[in-house]
Amino acid sequence: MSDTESSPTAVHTAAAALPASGHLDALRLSLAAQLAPSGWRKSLHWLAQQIAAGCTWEDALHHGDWHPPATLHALVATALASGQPALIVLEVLESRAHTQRSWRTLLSSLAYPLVLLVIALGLTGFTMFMICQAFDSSSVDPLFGIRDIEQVNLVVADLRHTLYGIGITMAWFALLVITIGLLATPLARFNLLGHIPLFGKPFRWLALGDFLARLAVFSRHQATLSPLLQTVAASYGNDPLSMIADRVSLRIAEGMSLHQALHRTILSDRQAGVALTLIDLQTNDFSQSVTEASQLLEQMACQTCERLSFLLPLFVLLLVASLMWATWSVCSLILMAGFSLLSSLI
Amino acid sequence: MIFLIANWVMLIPVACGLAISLVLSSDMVERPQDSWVRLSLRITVWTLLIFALIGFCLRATPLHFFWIIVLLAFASACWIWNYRFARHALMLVVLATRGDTQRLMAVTHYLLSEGRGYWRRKAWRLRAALAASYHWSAAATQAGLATEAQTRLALGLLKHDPGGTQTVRDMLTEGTVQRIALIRMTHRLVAASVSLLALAAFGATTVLLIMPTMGKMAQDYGHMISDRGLWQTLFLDGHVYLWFPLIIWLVVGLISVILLFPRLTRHIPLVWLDMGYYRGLTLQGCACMLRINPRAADVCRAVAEALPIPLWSARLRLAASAIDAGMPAPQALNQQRILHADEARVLALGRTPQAWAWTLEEIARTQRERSMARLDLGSQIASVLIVLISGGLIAVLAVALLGSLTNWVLHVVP
Repeated sequence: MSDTESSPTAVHTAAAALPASGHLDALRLSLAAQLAPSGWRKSLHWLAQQIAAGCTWEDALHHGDWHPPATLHALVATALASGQPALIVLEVLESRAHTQRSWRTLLSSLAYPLVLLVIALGLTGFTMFMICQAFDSSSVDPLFGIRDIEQVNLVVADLRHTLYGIGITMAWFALLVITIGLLATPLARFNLLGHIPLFGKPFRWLALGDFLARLAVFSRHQATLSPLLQTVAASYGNDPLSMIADRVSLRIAEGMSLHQALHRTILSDRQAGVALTLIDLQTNDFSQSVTEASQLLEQMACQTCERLSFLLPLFVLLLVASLMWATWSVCSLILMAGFSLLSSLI
Repeated sequence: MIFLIANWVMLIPVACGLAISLVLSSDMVERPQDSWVRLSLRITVWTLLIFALIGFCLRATPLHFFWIIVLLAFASACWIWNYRFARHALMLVVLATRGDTQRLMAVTHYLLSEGRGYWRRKAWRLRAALAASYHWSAAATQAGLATEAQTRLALGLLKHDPGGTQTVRDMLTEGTVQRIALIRMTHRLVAASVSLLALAAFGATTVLLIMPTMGKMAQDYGHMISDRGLWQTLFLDGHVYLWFPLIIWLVVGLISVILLFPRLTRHIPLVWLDMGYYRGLTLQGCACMLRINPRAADVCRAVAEALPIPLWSARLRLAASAIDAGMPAPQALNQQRILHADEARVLALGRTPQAWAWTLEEIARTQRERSMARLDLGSQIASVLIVLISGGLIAVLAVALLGSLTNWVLHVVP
């Protein structure tokens, strides 16, 4: 790294001696690094410095110091095979950054209700646990009349059962998450996430939008559809979208249209199919048609996120209010027993 | 114990469903043509529902009923919003076809063969309108896709420029974004109102639970308490203090909900909330039309015709008449309160229709940003006020209750 981070004058002088395409590629890679996810930035900056220092792409990619994430490596290698690596990487990351904004909208619409629900359940569980503990360890029985202590015992037993219920549900949920995390393949995880009610549709639409955006980027540099899809599949590395692209390529080789092949994949559904119909009706600009379909899918996903961001918090607020109500009604029953005790003392 | 067993038993089909899904979906890149996945999902869902029903029959508390009502309300809201989403998504699809009749027909054909419910009905109406040789924008209006003001305005303006301009399309997209932002702000108020309605109900329920005992105590031991009047007010006539905040929150909630319906606010000029938005929309429409037609009176008439808001259409028509009568356009627009005086002065500096269009566009943009900022601030202040007032009410009730209890313990128990 110290070689590449030499004095600015030296770098400038070396860069001036390079052909203009080297500067341009380095600049594009630097711009791409700004749009890239945090795990990719260091690798992209390193690559930009190597290209700016006059290194060829092949040498840079096979350099021992370059250890990029697998998906970035696949993307750069595919882009290099397509002829204009820096431009393709920049365009792919631009479209990716656009999709990421929609992703953030989707995640932020889920974050608040989930956090609120977990906190409410945690606090309710803690309150119930403390009440049960207090009644288990105290010697308040002699203070109450027979009728009251029966009522209080019933309430505490109810609390204990509710606590077990919450605990078991949480344990099952944790078990499910761990099972999926450990056993499921990336494609199975993708399938499971894509079929969660409310969340699944925008998840799949955004993935399909991202796929189409990348297809549009590569289609500007490659004309034939089947090799184009194989290139896109290679650019995804080990991502589930790679397998989907391979299957679409296979279907097209069998004679299916792009719209039909995409519509058969797990990414599509009835609503997404409307956007996909626009692809096969391109007049003369395939890339433009695919970009439009991608944008349409992103807009549809954003619309769904808007709906989620309104409905979910409201629903969770009502649930939390009901939890508070239930907890307080239990506490008030105990309070009533206390009043009754006071009455009996007078 | 039965609940614990039921809890474990009901999760067995979930685990089985998950295992089947994991196995089947590990190499599933196409939507399943066989029915195994759907069958396992259905078995899981139905088993869960049956166990939930058994649990409910064994032990149904008011809380269970409340949760059922909340779930039903959630399902209804999702159902209603699906319609809104479908309408908006279809409008986006129509715009994405860029007015190409062949593409539009392909979309309707797809929807008629694979769509369901609302999508299918709208596709049917859209195809019928296209078959009747309507312009695509008019066909979208005929199909009922353009219900919101900015959509109808943009489609109305397209009639004057049959090729369709990018400006109008941008206006539609931008207007839609703005409308969604407006709805979100209104939703914030509704959410605050509903949550605090729940809070008020929670406080009221608490006091209602305690009130019978306290009322009995007031009757039995009231003569021993120094501030008997307060005791009497709180625990015998206290329902007045409980219903009062409830009714207030109900009214606030209802007003907020009414504001959600643009069809209502469009015809009620006193709803200040959307006035800035409609003014911005009107000015933006004028700016778009000025690029197509340089005659100010014609522009006002075209926008008045396309704008589905009676108040602003009437103002624009009056402005058009004044311009025809020889009044300068900025002055006529100012006279009808479409432009403020300072904005009219800025507009008067322009010498060409292009300059006017640019100025109007800028004024509309400023107006939109200003109204959004005001509304955002207003909705936040209103939310905070609602929180503070309801918190204050509950605090007053709690303090009064504790004070009376202390008083009672001090005077009666010894």
